[in-house]
Amino acid sequence: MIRIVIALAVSLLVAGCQEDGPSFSTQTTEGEMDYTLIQSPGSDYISIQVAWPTDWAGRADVNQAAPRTAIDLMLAGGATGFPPGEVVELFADLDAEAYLDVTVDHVLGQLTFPPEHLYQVLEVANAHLASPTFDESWFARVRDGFEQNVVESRAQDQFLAFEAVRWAVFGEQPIRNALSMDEPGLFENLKLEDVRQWHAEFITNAPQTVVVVGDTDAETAGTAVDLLFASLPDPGDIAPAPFAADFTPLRILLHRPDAQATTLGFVGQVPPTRMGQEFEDLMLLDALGQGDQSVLFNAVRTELRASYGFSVGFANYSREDRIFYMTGEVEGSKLADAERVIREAYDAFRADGPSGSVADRKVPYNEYFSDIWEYVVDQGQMEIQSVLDGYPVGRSLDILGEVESVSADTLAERLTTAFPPASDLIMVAVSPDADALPGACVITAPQEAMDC
Amino acid sequence: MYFGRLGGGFSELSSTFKAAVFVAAFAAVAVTYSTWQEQAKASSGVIVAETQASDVTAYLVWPNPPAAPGLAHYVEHLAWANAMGGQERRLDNHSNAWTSGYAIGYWLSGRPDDLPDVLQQLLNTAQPLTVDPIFAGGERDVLMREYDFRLGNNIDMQAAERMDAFLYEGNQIATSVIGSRDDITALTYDDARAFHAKTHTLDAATLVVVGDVSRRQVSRALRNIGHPEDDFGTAGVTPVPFSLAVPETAYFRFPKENAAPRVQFRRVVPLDAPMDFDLLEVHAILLRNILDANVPGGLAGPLRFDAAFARSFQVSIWPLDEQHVELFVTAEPDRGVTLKALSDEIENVLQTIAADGIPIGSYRRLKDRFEGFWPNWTDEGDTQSWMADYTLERVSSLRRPLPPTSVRGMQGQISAEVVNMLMDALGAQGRTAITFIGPERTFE
Repeated sequence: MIRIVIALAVSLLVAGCQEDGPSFSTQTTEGEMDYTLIQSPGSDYISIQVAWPTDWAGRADVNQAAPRTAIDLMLAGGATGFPPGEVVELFADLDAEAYLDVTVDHVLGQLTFPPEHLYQVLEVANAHLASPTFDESWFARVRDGFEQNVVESRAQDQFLAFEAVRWAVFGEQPIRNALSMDEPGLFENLKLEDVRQWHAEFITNAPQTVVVVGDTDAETAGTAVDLLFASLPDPGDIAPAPFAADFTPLRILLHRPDAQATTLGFVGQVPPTRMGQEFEDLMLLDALGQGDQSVLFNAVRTELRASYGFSVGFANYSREDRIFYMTGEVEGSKLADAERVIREAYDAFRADGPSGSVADRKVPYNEYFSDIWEYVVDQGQMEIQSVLDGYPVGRSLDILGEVESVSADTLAERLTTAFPPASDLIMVAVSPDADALPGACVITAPQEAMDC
Repeated sequence: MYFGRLGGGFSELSSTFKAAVFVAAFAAVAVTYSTWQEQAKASSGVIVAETQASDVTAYLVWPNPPAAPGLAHYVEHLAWANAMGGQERRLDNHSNAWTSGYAIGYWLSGRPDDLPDVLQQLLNTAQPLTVDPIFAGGERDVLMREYDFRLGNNIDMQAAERMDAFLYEGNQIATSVIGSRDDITALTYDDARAFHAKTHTLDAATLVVVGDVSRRQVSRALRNIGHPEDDFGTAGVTPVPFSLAVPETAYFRFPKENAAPRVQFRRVVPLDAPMDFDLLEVHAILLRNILDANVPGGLAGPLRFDAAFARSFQVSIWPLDEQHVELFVTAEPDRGVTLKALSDEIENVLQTIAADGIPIGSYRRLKDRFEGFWPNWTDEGDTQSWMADYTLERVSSLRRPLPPTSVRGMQGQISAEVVNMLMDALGAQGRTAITFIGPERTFE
């Protein structure tokens, strides 16, 4: 039985929406699985987004390389009835795409396909979820590749800088290893059994959220969802617990005598996305560090002439532990000056707010979101993340309203309440000169940041 | 909305999903919603692509003639600062510049109502360089930081510089765009001014305007700022021909203990006869798709699925001009496979495929999927977007874009014979550069 719980005409919600625009509803499949359906007229594809909860990153007695190895192996290593070399071409012939990702809090799945290939695609996808081959040789292949990429990444100065920050913030907690993959012997100790255990625990018939987007009806979408989760096991006990994050301000210098360049970075804690005002955050970050008219570009490149450019961004250690960062390569002899100039520029920005008109800052967002519902993957990703943040179903269809609500006042308020002052930031530099930053806590390996 | 990954990025840099999207959106707005118009005069250096986008973006592209390594790039920095630096601009006036082996380009976006100002400010890149000499000297330091950013810790880019110099020997594109640290140190403001004066002239420029403006509006705006359309491109912009040095194979080794082992296999080959560049490119992409697949005539079976030589690989093929094509295979070895053994196997498989030819079944299967390469010609927006991308790509390589009707007509000109002709050419030695990256013990 198809049970429609909520059905709203989105023309009420979306500014300027046409009569044939998207609409959302909460549905239940014949198999009794709840999901959100976003009907987007004219779309050529159907996209199914899934989020399963996980608590693996909080466990001390498991191998933290297992989740990513597992999803790569599930995607590449074939499944019962579908040898890896054949299924990749079959999926390409069907014009379908499948994707898995894993965060500290969730396993995320994405399946996109033309409606006319629904049954074939779902058969393949279900097989890969329910009965992946997990062949030893493919496991070794995936694990080796993953390990080699981790080893290479962890040799880069900028990666080491962020690794040091994670040590300072999380110390010995498993989440640090889950984010950095830095535990000695992590890959040598990884066994296929670890991957099997992870798969059995989290790829279940009880996802936290399912979203279907496309030009399709509830009956078809429900059939697709039931086919996707057919014969998956029941979940076990999953008990996510909050992590203890310590953002005490620090000044860290990682001394690397052979470093080819000098890297400088700042990290600060900001509220999680579930608390809203994301567009204020994004517009503030634009003003701070995006483009040649930004605060940091002017301070570090135009004025100090110490850097090619300075990057800014947000990242999530977990859903609750969100950060913003500023980072770039600077001239070694100007490291101390760069630290001072950035702190001063950031604090001045915090006090004065962004220059120029708010309307101008909204332009790219309005442009980007005005027709996003025509892109089933983007719309689905927005909706599932919104639901995981605890917002009402269908919020993603009203995103232009959130952009519109941004004002000079909300930007100014957000700057002072969400962005910490420069004195509360964790600063980390990587330099070949141990004395480049007087007063900094000088370390020679990222883990020593825990003791700064 | 939330975005985070476990271990997949290891750096906050890779987790800036939203920020990255919007940075890209700034640059891509004009491309995504643009329209290609066939009204461009054949001799004009002005191309207008009308769109419904809220922004209009103007691109100014000049040929990059032979010069000292890094000089054109230095001039690009100075000319951009000369035109944009210190100037008041609206927040939605975004701008950037680039230098390639073929061209130097600048772009500036703004509101359609601001088109005259946007064009005027963009055209200021042609004004004589007047930045303070101290600023010009400091810009060399910024170039050095850019070098650190792009090449300092990037072994793939370092390898690319070496392979470019070998593969393209005797051609302008063999010269490093960014230069070495010594090259950057040796740059002078006088040289930059001379190069700028020689290159940044409107008669050599191509102006592309993409956005919600008509050609008439662009023409009027240009007249109003004193630079009518006829000022542009009168010198004639011509593609840079490629000349292949003697066939030879060179190995480059980049030992690095912490690098993931990988082979970069590049080959440039001549064709027996020149063919239309656009048609050549389409066939090169189709052949690339066939080689990438696990079908008879592909690389995936022999390297990855039927045997365990490469745990992964990527392949690209593109034309350098009407008679030369480049193949680029990068591959990561399976456990126990040396990089030499992997590169030998890549060579063996290429030889076999060239000798046997691409099976017609594989050709047809991949050609069916190739429909996705083209825009949906019945969807105006999709077509406009595709054509705008194509137009900018062509102009940036000093080539004249074809009109949509000609592009569409190419779909009926794809043939298995040309695909096999290309494969046959790539089976010859050509000029081949093979690079090993990783711990030295993995090399041989």
